[in-house]
Amino acid sequence: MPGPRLTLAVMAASTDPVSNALEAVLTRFAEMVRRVGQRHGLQEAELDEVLQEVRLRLWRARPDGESLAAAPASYVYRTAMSAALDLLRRRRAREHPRGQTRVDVSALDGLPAPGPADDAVEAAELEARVSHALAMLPENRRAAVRMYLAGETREEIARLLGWSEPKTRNLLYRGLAELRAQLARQGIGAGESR
Amino acid sequence: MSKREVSRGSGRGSGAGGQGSGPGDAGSAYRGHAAGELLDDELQRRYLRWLAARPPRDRAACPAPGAIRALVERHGAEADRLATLDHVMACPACRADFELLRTLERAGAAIGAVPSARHRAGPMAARWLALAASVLLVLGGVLWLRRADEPGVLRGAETAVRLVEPRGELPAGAAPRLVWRAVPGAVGYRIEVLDEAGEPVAALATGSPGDTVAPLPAGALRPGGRYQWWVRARLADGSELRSGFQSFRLRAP
Repeated sequence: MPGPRLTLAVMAASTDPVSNALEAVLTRFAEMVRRVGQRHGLQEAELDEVLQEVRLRLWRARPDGESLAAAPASYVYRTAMSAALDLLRRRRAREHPRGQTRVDVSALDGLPAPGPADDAVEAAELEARVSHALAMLPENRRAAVRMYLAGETREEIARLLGWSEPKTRNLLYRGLAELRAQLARQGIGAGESR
Repeated sequence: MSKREVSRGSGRGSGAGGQGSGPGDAGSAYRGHAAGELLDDELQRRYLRWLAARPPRDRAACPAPGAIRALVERHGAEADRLATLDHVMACPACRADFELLRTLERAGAAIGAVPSARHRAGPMAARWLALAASVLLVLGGVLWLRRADEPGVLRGAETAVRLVEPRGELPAGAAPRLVWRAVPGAVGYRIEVLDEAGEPVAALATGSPGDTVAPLPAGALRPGGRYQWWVRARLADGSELRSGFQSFRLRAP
């Protein structure tokens, strides 16, 4: 199997117009992947792994020129998705059943670090209460609220779920209000902020 | 973390850009809360602490990568995608998988490989026509629209506004009236009717505290459709009280 540098060289050295067109699309796609991936906090090595796999697959498949010329971007995208899914499946298969896996804690930067004992108990209690309160929400509101609490914007929630802006706003509005009320009933309110 | 308004978008942890909007109009309705209830940013902080405290999950229970792909590509039944999303947002390992696939989908959309996510214009246009028609039937002559700079306060899930009718099954062809109990101190009410998908099909407002009845235009409802409605009462100090949600169904002919 050719290594990354060799594969790149092979692809780049092609004089076939279809291969060149494919390479141009792939280059543009890779640039977008890196740009978007950076915004989403993904590791460059992970993206490189996927993109290299895409190159290898394209090289091995030697896609038919006519069909490729019709929709090179779509071809590259489908290949990338397929490569990424295979990568995720391989990772899961390697993981321990109890799942010591990649946990992105970058989202937690700036949060107060929990202490060893009391905070662990407190966190566990909080987990149970928050989990319970979230579970009480209807599914569509719960999904919107989870995304919002995880830092997603309202626009992204609407985009991902294919919802209109008013629907997203409504579900989020009502979901957050219900969550607050649920937590207040469980004794979690602004008064015990820490 | 400061007491800034998360509604204006922290972007923390999502990689979603960080400057997007929160649930309300420019953060309006969500700025306020009843005494003792949590602000958005505090809710978010606690939620992230909860995520951090969770022990690693057995990934055998996680949705398959293909289900996460369906989520980011918006394929399949909404119920399935909601279930996947519910898990993904609470599972750091699946969240990482999701971010990878979402990145590819975004990049694919940027190069024209996949259709960019657009809202369904057809059904939405019809809904908004119905909504616009119903807004014209504003009670009391005063349309009350809360603006972004109003100090809105939502008092949780208290059932401070009591709904009377409709509820249950309504006969086919009925043009229901929405009736609720007057709230002392209210200076106006805002009423919303939502379909099963949570889409607003009618939005009414009244600026008169004495008006506690609102007729619904028959065209706003679909025969056989199930609906929920609720009322928010605006008080003189700019705060709000709201009802719970009440369901009704319009029988098919």
